[in-house]
Amino acid sequence: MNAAETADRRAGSSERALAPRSLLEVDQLQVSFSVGKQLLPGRTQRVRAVDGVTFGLAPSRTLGLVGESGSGKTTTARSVVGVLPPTKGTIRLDGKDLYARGPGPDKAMRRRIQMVFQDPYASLDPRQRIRNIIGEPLRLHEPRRSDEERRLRLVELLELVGLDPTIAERHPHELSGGQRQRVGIARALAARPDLIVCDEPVSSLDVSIQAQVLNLLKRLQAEIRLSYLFIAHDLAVVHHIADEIAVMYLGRLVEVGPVDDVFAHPGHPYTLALMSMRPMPDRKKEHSRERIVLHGEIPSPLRIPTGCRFHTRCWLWQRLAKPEICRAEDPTLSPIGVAHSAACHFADHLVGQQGLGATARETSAHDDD
Amino acid sequence: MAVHGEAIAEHERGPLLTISELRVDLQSGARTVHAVRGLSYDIHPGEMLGMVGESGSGKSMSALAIMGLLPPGGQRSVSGSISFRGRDLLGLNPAAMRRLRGREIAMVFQDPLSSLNPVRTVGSQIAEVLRRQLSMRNTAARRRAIELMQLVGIPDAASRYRSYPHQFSGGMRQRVMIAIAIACEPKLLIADEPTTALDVSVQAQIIELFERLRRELQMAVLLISHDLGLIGQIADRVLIVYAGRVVESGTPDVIFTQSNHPYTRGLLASIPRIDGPRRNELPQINGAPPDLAAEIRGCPFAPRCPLVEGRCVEDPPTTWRAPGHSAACWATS
Repeated sequence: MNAAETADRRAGSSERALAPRSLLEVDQLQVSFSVGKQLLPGRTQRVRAVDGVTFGLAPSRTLGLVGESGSGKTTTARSVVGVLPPTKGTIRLDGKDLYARGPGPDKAMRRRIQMVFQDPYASLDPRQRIRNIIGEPLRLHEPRRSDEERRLRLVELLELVGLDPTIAERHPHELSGGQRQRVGIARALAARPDLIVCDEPVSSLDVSIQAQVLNLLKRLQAEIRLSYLFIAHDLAVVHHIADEIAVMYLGRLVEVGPVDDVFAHPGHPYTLALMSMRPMPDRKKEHSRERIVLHGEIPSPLRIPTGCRFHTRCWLWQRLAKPEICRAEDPTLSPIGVAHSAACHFADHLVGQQGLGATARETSAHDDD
Repeated sequence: MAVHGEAIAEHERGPLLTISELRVDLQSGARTVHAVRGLSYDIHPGEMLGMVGESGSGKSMSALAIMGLLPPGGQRSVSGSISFRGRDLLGLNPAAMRRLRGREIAMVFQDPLSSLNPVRTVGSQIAEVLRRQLSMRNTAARRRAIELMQLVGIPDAASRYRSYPHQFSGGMRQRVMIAIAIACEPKLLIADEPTTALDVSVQAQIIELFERLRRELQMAVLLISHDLGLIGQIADRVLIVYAGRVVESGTPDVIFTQSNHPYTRGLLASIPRIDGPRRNELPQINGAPPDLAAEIRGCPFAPRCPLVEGRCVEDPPTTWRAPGHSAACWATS
């Protein structure tokens, strides 16, 4: 839509790690909540759901955010879309602080960040026709347009997401899951956003429909200047769609880097465990690789372990005979490659561990074709 | 007596459960929904059978038919047969079915929170099954419930006996559901998407648990899932279900490397992989599964099939069989 996008996309795969110019910059984000007996002052406790998260996202790129439930990824997403003010830290879009003027971004800024939800059934008003569901952001963000212009834009949006324009007169319950998710995407696109936060957009869809929606998201990114912050628990989906990946654990970023690097040489034992636990259909590969099953569950943010937050579930810590440093010192996110960082005292011990060998793309370059 | 003994031995060697030509039609307002359209398969003692299909493929509905939990009376019609250890389950009266359910066949559902009673402790819900189904006394039931909680990997079982479901995480609740299901050591455990709502780490733990329980208790498990990776990893045999019928079955190796059905192949190609090169575009199956109310004349997959030919639209495909592999497709038979 804009001449600059072509230049951005030309920035080539070798340099994309250097993340040219950020569209979104999240800097030392911290989000706390009060929990406990709110009526008794002194009994309340602060929980840091997100505790010092920093990352950037360039135009026309996708950042995959992964982690178990309780890792803080959804909280991060809610702050990024402008509905949850940070306790500390900043979120900037094109250099402008989203929360500079109080509790949330102004309308112009909100327009630029849209969201696609996990459950397209729950996120569409069942009493509205599709025409109204997509029409609402059109009226809100482009109030000066005539009815005829809006109608044309509606048809354009439906066609863009691969829906027949006759669907406009229907209600959500008359559509299939895949069609509903396309409506959710069209509604997000209606505002002409620069960034779409996708919260598990395919995990409630059937397998044969997942590929259709993932292909649609990739095609839209190539056609319109769009960045995605893509939250998913399925690493295979993130591997497919993202350029960079950020792994969260208990409110912290434990690893961040270009997808191919992270999958080939994970620098954090948590990342490696997440990858190894993902079942693969190929039995031969399945049996030849080591499966690391993480035991227990992510600890409560009220009882954050000392030192490295992950040490209580860390297989590497066990294997190294429980070195004291992991219990005593909180590791910082440190570079282990080009634009690739991990927060582990023993990241170098993982070098010999193979990731999943996904080092090359089927096509040589990162062209959006 | 001797004849009787031999008869038992005979069906112990054969399948534990045989479903043939099962059809389930449900009345939904003016529409008749064909939830299951002639499903046939069997499960052997101790076998882990994986069933893969999309929503509306009839996989959950066929499980409910085995459990005798289909919506009641006049709203449905069921035909075909479900034979469990020589008995036809469709002909059992409700009292006999209740005795069988829980004791010989048990089921675990996707959403453990809505299956547990929120105002009763988890321990008492496990103990209740033992008291009712096995007529255990209170103290014995309590002791056994704690053992079961330990067996399914709930730490601190004795003290967590008195916890309520909301105090448990999703993974722990699913363990409680599994403890209830295996309380009477059933011959067959049906698990319908048991790990879908759970994190990968918890999913891996639950899968380890299923593998262990099957070994230790010699149960057959019917594992229903849309996750091909999961099924490929732990099933002995895989059924691919589409529009209420089995379209292909075989060992995971056969299904994942030599599939003979375009639907299976399409599904396998369309899943993003972490173990291969990244692709710009995923090969996708276009369209959507058939409407449940639609009458299907030929092959149900024909409208979405890349290999479709004339007779696919006209006649339902016959099932092609080889040892350890079968597929219902005109084009590849």
